[in-house]
Amino acid sequence: MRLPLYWVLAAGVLVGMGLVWLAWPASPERIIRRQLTEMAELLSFPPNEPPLNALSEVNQLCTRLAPDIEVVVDAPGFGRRNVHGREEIRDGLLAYRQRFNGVQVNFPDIRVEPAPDRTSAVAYVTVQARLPGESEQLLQEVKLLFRKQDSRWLLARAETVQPLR
Amino acid sequence: MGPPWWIRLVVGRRPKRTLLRAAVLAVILVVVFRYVLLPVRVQGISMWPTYRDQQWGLVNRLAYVWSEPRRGDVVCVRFTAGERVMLLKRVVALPGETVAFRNGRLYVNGQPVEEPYVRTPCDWEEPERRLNANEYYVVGDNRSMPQEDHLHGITERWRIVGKLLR
Repeated sequence: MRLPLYWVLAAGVLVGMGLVWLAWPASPERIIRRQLTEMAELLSFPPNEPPLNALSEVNQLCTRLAPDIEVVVDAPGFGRRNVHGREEIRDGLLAYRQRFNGVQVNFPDIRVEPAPDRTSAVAYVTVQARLPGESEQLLQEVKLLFRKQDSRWLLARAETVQPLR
Repeated sequence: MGPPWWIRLVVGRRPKRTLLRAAVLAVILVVVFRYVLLPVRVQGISMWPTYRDQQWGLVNRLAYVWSEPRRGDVVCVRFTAGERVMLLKRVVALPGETVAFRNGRLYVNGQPVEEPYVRTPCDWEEPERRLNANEYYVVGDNRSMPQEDHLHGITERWRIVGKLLR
């Protein structure tokens, strides 16, 4: 069976476009989106997680944070709290994993706005967190500031945003 | 001999025309369910008993194109990041009005408001606040929840995506 020439050409064009897409340098927006998806996976953990696994995932998460990161949490029922520096965040993340027996974290909505100079970007993220066996979920919007350092995008600031005040 | 009966049943006598019809229908469905009627699934109990957990609904995105939200409307409130996850709340106070909760009762412009959709007594207390232009006060129907666990308050007009159809 012989395929018509235009089919072969169309397939070639499609494959070529796919290769160009893969080889094209990723935009800051694409990189940050991918990074956020990985962070959501690292923030999620199953029930009865082995401690070594927890430590490994927290360390992986911390490599994506700027050393002078600042986190500002102001949420109903939680109060206002500021956390500074990667080490304090690491302690907080370990405490978070000890406090809950499993959490599923998703970022269903992500909006990334790179700065004109392409060395920083602001991302708005809807955080959805669910504890195993519970129907109620936690919904929180956060505003994240990413800074480009040594060709890597690091999270430099995170703050909660209230859609209702 | 023509094609088998089941192929005729699926694609009809004129397959090209059937394909075109299917494509047009698909485009119409995408446009309608993305830009006009947005299907949503309720998660959580803050709108109980009007809307139950896991109940499906349709949001009319065109409801506020030519008019503004009205008191009593059940609306979807979006986050800055996008519209995949939204808050489902009821509008209880409009721009320029004052709103407060005293002993579990809603007061708008200093007057108590009848809320037939609220079926459970509550003890919420909230000081009087005045809404600016383009601001609405939204709250869920389930007031039996503790006040701090129930997301409610002032939202800007641009966050209101549409009105939920019953």
